[in-house]
Amino acid sequence: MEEIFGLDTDVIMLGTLVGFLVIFFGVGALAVLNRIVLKIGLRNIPRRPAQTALIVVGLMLSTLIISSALGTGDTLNHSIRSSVTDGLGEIDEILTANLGDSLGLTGSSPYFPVDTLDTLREQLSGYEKIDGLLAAVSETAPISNPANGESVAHMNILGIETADLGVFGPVSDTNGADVNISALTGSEVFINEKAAESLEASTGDRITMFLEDAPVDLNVAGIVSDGGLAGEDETTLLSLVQAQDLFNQPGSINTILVSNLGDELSGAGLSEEVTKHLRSLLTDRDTALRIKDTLNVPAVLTDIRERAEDRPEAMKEDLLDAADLLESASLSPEQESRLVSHLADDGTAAQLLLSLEANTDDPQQMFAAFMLFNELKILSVQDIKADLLDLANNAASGIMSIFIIFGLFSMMAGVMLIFLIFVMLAAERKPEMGIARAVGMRRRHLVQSFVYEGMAYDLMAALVGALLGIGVGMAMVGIMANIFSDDDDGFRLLMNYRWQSFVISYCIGVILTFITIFFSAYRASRLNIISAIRDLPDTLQSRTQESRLRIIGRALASPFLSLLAAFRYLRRGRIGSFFINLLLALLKILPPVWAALVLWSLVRISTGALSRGWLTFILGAGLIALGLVSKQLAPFTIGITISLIGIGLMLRWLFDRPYWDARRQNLATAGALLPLLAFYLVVGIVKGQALTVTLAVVVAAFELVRQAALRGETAVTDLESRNAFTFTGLALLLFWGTPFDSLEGLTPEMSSNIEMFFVSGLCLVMAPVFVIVYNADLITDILTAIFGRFSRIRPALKTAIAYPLNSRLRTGLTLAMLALVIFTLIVMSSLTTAFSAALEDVDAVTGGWDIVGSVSYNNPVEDIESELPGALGAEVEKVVAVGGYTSMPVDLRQVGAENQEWRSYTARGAQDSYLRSTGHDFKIIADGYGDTKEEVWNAVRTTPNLAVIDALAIPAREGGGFIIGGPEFRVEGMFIEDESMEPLEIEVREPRSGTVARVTVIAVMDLLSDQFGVIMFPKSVLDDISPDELPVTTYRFKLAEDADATVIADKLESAFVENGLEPTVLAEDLEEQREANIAINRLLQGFMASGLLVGIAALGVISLRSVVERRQQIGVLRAIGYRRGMVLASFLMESSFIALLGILIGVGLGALLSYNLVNDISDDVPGLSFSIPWIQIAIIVAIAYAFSLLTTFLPARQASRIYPAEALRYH
Amino acid sequence: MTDSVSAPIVVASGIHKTYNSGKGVVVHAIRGIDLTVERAEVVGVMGPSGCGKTTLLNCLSGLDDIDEGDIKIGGVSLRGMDDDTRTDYRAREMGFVFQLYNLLPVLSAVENVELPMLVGGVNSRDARRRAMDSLEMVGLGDWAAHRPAELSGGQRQRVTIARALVNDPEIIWADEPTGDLDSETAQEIMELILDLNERNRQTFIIVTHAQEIGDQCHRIVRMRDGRIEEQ
Repeated sequence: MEEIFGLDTDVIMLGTLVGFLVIFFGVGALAVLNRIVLKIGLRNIPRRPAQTALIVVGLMLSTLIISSALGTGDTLNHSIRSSVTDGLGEIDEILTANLGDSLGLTGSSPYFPVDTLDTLREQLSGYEKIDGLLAAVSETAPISNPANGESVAHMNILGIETADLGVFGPVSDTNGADVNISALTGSEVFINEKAAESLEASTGDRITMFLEDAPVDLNVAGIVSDGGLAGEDETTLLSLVQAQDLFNQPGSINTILVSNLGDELSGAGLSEEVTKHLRSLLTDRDTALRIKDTLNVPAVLTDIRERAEDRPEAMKEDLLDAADLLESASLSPEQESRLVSHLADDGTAAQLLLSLEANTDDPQQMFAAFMLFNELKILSVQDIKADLLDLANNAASGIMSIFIIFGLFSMMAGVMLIFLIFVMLAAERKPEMGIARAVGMRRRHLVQSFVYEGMAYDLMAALVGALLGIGVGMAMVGIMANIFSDDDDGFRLLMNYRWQSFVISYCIGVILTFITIFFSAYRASRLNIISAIRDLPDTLQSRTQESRLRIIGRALASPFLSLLAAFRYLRRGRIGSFFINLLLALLKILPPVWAALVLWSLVRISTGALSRGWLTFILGAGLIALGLVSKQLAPFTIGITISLIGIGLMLRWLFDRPYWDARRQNLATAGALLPLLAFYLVVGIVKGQALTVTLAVVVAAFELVRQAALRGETAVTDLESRNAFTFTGLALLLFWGTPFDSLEGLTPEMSSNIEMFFVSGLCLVMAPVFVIVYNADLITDILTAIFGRFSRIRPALKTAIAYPLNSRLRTGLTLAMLALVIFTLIVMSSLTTAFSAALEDVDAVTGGWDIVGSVSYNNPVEDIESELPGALGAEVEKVVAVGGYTSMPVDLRQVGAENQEWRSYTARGAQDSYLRSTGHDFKIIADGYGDTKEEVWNAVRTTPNLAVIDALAIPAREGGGFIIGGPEFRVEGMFIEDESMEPLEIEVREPRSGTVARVTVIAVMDLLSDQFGVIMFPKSVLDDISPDELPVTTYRFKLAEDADATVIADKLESAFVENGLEPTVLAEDLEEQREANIAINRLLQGFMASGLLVGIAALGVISLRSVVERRQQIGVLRAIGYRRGMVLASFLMESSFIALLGILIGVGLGALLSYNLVNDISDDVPGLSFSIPWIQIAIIVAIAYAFSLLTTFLPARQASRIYPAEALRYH
Repeated sequence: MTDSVSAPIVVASGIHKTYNSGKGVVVHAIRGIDLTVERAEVVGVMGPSGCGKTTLLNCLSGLDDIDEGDIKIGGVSLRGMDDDTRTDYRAREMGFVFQLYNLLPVLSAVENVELPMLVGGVNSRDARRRAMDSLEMVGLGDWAAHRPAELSGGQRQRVTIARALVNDPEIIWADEPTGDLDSETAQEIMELILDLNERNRQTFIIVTHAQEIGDQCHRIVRMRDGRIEEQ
């Protein structure tokens, strides 16, 4: 791909590479300066090979996800690009008559004299960037094979000048031999492979082309290979003269094909330059000077200059230059060319017209100006290849972004795993670190030794991850290829992985892991020497001994301190150290590195205030304010979350003093929760939200049980943290678990996007994890009560639960990892189920129509209703209704809207019969136009100039980030989530004539409707603004209940073959779409499930570590009567306990969020209802649980085989 | 117990134990030991470091396998038992006290004490009651809800003793039970052991390097280089 999230891949690569090099050389320089620390770090790696392997697996996952997403994007991009270059061959631009290009539906452009090409050739003599021009006639027409009835409704017919194919040729047959198009005579034609396949025709066959006047018989002289001039779609090739005769256009052509210098791909690189050059040549200079006279009015020029200020840089320059040139009294030839080029640019022209419109009240003058612009271009230039290549990049980039966004959960879980791994490594090495500190190592040396070790794992793991990512990406593309495989489209997926993608994923992997390692190393280094040596419980030293000013000062002066150190070493003659310190100084002076150092120092000095809560609370409040001001949901909700954590931390700080005994603490915690509970209870009752009331009641009940359980306990450890974080967890659960519109009316309307999925997932998971890890004994009591009666498992269960609940950080992180991944999988499958179910309501999508078919523009059906009995025979009784419409690209703008630029959109002018019978429903209906769809369609049919528009034209408050491309026109002043609307006045401009009609949009169609990207009104509106008569191009058929749609579709196809009718059975089409949707969602789920590996690896790491840590304890257990099987069972139960708890949290929260999401969306999408996909959930749970058991089985078996005497001797 | 009350509780004959410590180094830790311990006897096993005291205790208690010879506890040979049978036997008939307390840090004192009973299938309520009785017996009834980290060294060792006693075993093996304690606490622990021996007529085999502890035992077995030097 050339762009990722809108940034050039080369820029991203450079940025990440610089980041990587800074880290690599920075760490390297420090390592060289203090080699003993490096040795300590690195020699830990081979100590436990199994653990090292698990660490590498854990660390590589984030890189793997990035690498596979980029690989998928690369392959798609490359495949689409190849398809573009194969299809177009050497053709880079296409020149057509000006009036034709905007009317894409006809498949035909107006003709112009063939001399035009000669003139162009003369103008281009000496211009080296174009190496070929070819005259052509390009048309489409229905063709059938009378021998077997097979037909192609829209066959491309290409007549080419055969005298000199030059760079475009040669065209070859399927055996690879060149064919001679000029040798074709009379009715002989070549057809390409695709056409031969569709028509089941071979050399020598007779085929029939249907033109408006009569059928024309053609003889197949040969089959030519697809691609290049022969095209990728069904194409018939013939000589230019033959085509001119066939279409009755002697001496005329309608297309000039242009090839840029270079091959199929590199030629496209010159497209922008060539297009600009061609546009300036193909612009009528006299018309340009007339436009100059029209626009050279001071008020208009001022408006152009003001308008330029708000435009992107390139357009701003063009507009300012255009304004200067328009103002100049006389222009040099070079200036004239520049002005012509500006005027010929559609974007600039639109702005100039807007400036004129803003300063004139005369519609006639505006119309005249518009027509002048239309006449300006002699020929229109389409940089077709560059456009398609851009599209390829956008599509690939879009798909890759989806994978990256959905992969974020797994990456987050990966980061947690890295943190967990290093926390555990630190725990393992605590006594050694204590001794190291005791013998004189500084805290930063401990950080360094961890960082060196971590970097070694990191460099290995990122490499493995990036390489494996290539494989995973390929596999995903392979699956996608299967999902979308369609024998007809000729699109092949070609595996591709750019080296830039490898560098980017490797560097991001290393950087991400390094940051996590650094934070965990810093945490590990804050140990108390004595408790570390004696391996006593952690007593972290939270307060640093250094003064705050000194810390910030050192960070600010850091580059200079390194420089100073360098010169000190130089004076002592230590050249090596001099250079290394010099290198460090140079690295530190880089602004991002320097900023990071200062930022880190700020974090260091604020840890106290953050952990006491007040600063955390203020940070959260700041984010809330930011969210309210910017009306963005993400900062608002994150702010609330951080504030609630801040309140929890403040409570803990408060409780940590003698006055706050257990009773007072418990009361205060309940007191803090009470207002929240009351608030949500009231909200739930007032808004009729059963879920909100239920959640509030559940939280209240939990707190009551908790308080009751705590009352009898005499020795509760860390009660203040327990109370504080229980409050935070329960409050977060209330905030994130209640429906999205709980706070509606209390906060301003806020916009959000896909990032909220990630944020809400993370915060939702955090809530129960807090509650569970701090109230674990309640779970123990419950489980013991349930399973305590089974005497064999009771003791094993006791230890199995006691251990994980004693290590809050480990257990909390593992629970969060597993819950996060399961949560995303459940949300995905619930949503897939809900949307698939919604698509099952075929009528809601199709408007009750059963068959749709488009006909040839050149040979339309005159009166379908009268022809149907002849076409269908007795089956005509089964056709309940038939209605047609004409689609046409138009320009739209909304009257009274801020944006007055014309935007393209598709208009559908519908026949009365269509409007009478269609059943498409509406999302919003304007006041005064009825309540039902029948009333709306009736109003459109009977009242002049009323229209309806589809939902894509209406902006959404939430989401909508996944639309790739899409129509340009957007309504202002309303949102798709609105319940009601005012009628919208819309101007519709016919692009060729500039004629404008004004329509009133009275309703917005349902999101599910298959009429999307369109504004729809009676056909008479289009007829009025179109310069020529418009035939109906699409028909829909509504059938009786007992009709067989496939049979009728077949009959329609054969009856209207000469009109090129291609019928589609809508229900079948929809089913295919539904299946493809499900399949692609499954693929995404599979991709996201890679995060499960993280959770499973975490359980593996914990189990391995536990076996080592508890060796002696296992010995004791064996001594007092634990059999081997019990030790094994205890370990398996322990990881089962974590795994099942994590899975349970994930499933519960996933169902909760899906319920809220589906309820929220169901307001907009009819037919959407929440149901739990039990089978899928059972499969996900079974797989996750089975794999987590598998990872812990080996360490557990190892533990069970420990010989008691050996374990007891082990120190 | 299958034998009569007057028969010796431990009879070890000709036991050998070697360790392969890797890289071809074989350590002959026990070299043909014969030992008999009578019921209700308090036997001290002493000797210099590395003489095989702990290995002997591990072998006699069935925590470790032997290469040659036979060990009978209460007339039952340990050699013929598979791992599970030996484990169950140990849970029923033996108690253990170690130098480093070896309590599970994640369980409270009473939970640590009741664990062997839960293993033995005693129901929760009875297990808890007997664990509390056992803790009362060692003077720690008020500390039942505390975790090991919240107890002093002497208290932890008392919990270990309570755990060793809770199943009312015939024989209690103690490996350096006072090794990590100051002399005053060590003496208290020793007095507790002797008191229990007198009250319950339980057999104690104590590995120790402290002469003052050994002096309080009914009999001292001295070891050197894997052999019994004097008993």
